[in-house]
Amino acid sequence: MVSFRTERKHPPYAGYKYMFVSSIATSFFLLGIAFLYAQYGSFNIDYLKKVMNGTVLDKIAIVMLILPLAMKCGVVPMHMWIPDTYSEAPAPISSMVKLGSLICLYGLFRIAFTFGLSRAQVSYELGMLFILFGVLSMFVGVTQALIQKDVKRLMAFHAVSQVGYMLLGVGVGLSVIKSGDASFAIYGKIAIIGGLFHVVNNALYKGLLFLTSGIIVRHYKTRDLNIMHGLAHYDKFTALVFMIAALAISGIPPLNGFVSKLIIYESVFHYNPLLTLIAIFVSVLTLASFMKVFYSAFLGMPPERRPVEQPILVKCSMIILSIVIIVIGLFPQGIIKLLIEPAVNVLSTF
Amino acid sequence: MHEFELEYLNWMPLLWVCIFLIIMVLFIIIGKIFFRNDFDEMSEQGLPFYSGTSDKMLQLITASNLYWGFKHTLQSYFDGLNRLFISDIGDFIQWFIIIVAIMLLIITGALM
Repeated sequence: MVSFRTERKHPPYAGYKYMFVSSIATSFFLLGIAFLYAQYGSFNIDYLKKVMNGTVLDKIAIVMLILPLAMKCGVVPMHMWIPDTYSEAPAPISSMVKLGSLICLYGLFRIAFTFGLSRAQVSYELGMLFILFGVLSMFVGVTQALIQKDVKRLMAFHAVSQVGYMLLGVGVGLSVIKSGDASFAIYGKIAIIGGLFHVVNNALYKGLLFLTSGIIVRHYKTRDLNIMHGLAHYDKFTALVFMIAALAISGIPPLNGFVSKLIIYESVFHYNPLLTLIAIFVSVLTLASFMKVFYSAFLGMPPERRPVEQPILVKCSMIILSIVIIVIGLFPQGIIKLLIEPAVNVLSTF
Repeated sequence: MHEFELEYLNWMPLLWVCIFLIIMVLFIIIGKIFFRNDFDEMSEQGLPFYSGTSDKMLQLITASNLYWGFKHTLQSYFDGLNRLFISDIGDFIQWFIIIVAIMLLIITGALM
């Protein structure tokens, strides 16, 4: 699906790269499973958690299981397949690939919590690695995004940056979960809630952004922001929807991105204020780069031709996503109590 | 297990929305009373003012022009990133092996 547009030069290459990266990741993942099966004779995660002895082979297996999932999430420095794949795939496919990455992120957290809290006792090390990868992903992703002139590559780099927030929140929770003091109760669990809540929010506004970017590219027939100008003169609906998604990803109240970012900021601040400072700075840069997209694509002189009217189903899907983004921003309690908190309880039970 | 208290969030969106609406209403009222009302968007007042050139395309500030200072100041950082991540599959494998090695050293405690 990534190389759907085979008549062009780059999509087949992007598809080949995605296939290659996925194959490497899957091979390593299978190797990790094989290491555990060879030792304990089972594929059952719960059983493995109970019988794991914390041998060197166990720890190698944990690395082999975690790293491919991190690669599939686009964690820096293994992120370069993301801009190539997301930018060449058709817009709806980019959303689906993004969703696949977020599912891998949940797999990553599941493996890290389950095996990190087993007798292997590596939760602190994994937490620190998550924080390191999170900060790297946030900063490298957003600074790379800021200088892009290709609208879809810009959004792809933001996908990398947003994964950093999730890793940061969950990493902080993971690193204090076994500390024995009250840190986990005070802020660790809340940091994990923030990280997981950000996964849900990210799926919503990122999906909306990819859909709007598809409309922008369809109208201008190019992804080059330098050539675009003034679409809002004719298509105010897309401009409004894009603005909602852009403000949500930048963490502007009262949208959903703000809520999860606020939870991450407040909890991570207890752990290390410098990390919060970096996260806030990254949010500012995120807003700056989306202002650039909004200015280039929607403001300025009217375009030479009027855009094609969007099908009603496309509009409906964008309206639904926008409403969900606003409603979650205004009433986050329900989704946290119903979805996020039970997931965190399951993850952190040991 | 500690119960997550949502009050910790310190986020009262409805209050903020109400404050925002009140400020908007006040702004509109003050604007109606004190702001000039001779602006006509359909006249020449509504046209953008460009100086320096009559070429319409040159009047447009493009995406590459934005944050020029930021890019210029951090040029060495971006050059470094471009050298590190060239988006080539060989480069990708190289990074994967480096991260495997680092993670193994940290997780197995070989660095301790």
